[in-house]
Amino acid sequence: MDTHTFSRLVELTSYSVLLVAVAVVAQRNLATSIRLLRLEGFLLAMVSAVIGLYTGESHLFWVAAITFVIKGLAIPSFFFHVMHRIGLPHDAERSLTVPLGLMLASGLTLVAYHVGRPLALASPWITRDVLASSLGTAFIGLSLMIVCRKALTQMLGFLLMEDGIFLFGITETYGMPLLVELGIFFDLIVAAGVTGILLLRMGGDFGHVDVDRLSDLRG
Amino acid sequence: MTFALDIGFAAIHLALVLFWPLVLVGIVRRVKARLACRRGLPLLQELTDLLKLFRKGEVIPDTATWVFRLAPWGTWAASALVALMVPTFSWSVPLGAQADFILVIYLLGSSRFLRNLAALDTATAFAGLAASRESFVAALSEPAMVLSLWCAGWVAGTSRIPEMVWRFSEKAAAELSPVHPLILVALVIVAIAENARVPFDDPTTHLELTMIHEAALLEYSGPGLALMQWGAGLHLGLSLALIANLFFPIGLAAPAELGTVPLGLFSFMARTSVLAALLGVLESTMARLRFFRITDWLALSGAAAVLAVIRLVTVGR
Repeated sequence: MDTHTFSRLVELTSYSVLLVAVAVVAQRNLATSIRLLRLEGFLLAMVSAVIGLYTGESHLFWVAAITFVIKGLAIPSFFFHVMHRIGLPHDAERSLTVPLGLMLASGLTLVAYHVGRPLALASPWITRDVLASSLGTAFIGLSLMIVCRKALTQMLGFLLMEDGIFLFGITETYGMPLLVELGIFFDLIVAAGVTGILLLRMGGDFGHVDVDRLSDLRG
Repeated sequence: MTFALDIGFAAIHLALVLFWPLVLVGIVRRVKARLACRRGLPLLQELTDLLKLFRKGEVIPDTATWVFRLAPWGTWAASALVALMVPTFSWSVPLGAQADFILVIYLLGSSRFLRNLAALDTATAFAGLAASRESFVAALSEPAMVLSLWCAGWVAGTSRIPEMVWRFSEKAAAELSPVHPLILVALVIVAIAENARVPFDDPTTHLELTMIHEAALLEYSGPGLALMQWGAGLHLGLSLALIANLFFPIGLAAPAELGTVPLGLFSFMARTSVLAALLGVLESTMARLRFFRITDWLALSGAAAVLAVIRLVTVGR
């Protein structure tokens, strides 16, 4: 694979990742948001595989396979399971309207470009233009964590942020040691599992997973 | 000889832009019917309907003025003019030198403006409401369309649509700009909204309070209705042609080379048919949006276009 094709391919995929993150912001339907998260996992697996093909490092294919299984298959199915188990309504409530949320997302991407520009100029890699879109994805995930009211959608935001950071890491380092990646994946599974169990408990005990209403318990 | 060839190319283009959309409308309907386990109408039903309508007499409301009579011709002419600027089987088009994307957007806008004027002209409550709704959708979708075509123009280094298609068709898929997915999503959403398709509007409902495009045509009959429907078909055809040629420019015929024409024709028909079939699937699997939820989707298309602009302005091509 020649360098030009490679950089274009990685950049194309990274913009698709950013686009999917923006689509999650625009989505009110919880099930569709989880499906978009699954798509995000597939795209990230593709990026790792493409970088693996280019650099010829075999452990990147392992990273791609693990990303595909965990982010693409396991976590979304687990979330679907939790959703059906506690009978969550399909409406992903936000404290911002969708157009406002999208404006916030665009603004955050602009910030990501300004923050990322000096970093990108200093980066030795051909894929340095990906930096801003991966930062943008992370920022959008963070903003979703802030504006969402339901615990499950906050977890979606967290996973989006993690996706952004993963993209950042893999395109700026061309693969960390497999041990580090494994540790991150393990953390991710634990985080998703803990949130899932917490959600199940919340749903069972209070009959809702609205984080804002948790403070009502006091007094 | 080249002059004759040019005329020939223009004739094929003209036939294609005027009549192929009718088949595309038939394909969308057929796919929807098949997915609902019905057999569906013949593919050329739209043409038969139009011919029937052209033969019929026209009933014009007493309150209608000349605006009402002018509008069908005006909207049809504006759409047809745009259809002469958007490439189909080849990137050379009859009005290639004038095919600036701003002009295309303004022509489409003036077609919509005339239709809305005519809807208001008869003072029917339904049609007036439809005009107001259509303006609402257009006001939100137009910025996204301007921005995404502007981005495509920036990437291609030209503001003329045929030249954009030519530049994109010269490149391999991997060399396309990274903003392509962003503007593709933006343009697809805009195309669905402006053609009044599900989830924005349902082209099959009549006499329902929520409808947009069909309600504006309520007072029309005979040749007027035929022109309006044909104009809508032209708009659908040119939207699909624009998307097919900007994002999947495969097998386009080179101008003044007869040998490449069959492949170009086949590829164009295949690509637009696939897009029309996808539109049919989308219409069958999605529900109509509540009217004030339309903003969510249009905001998504706007945001995608804005992201593309941010990328192009900060990093460059």
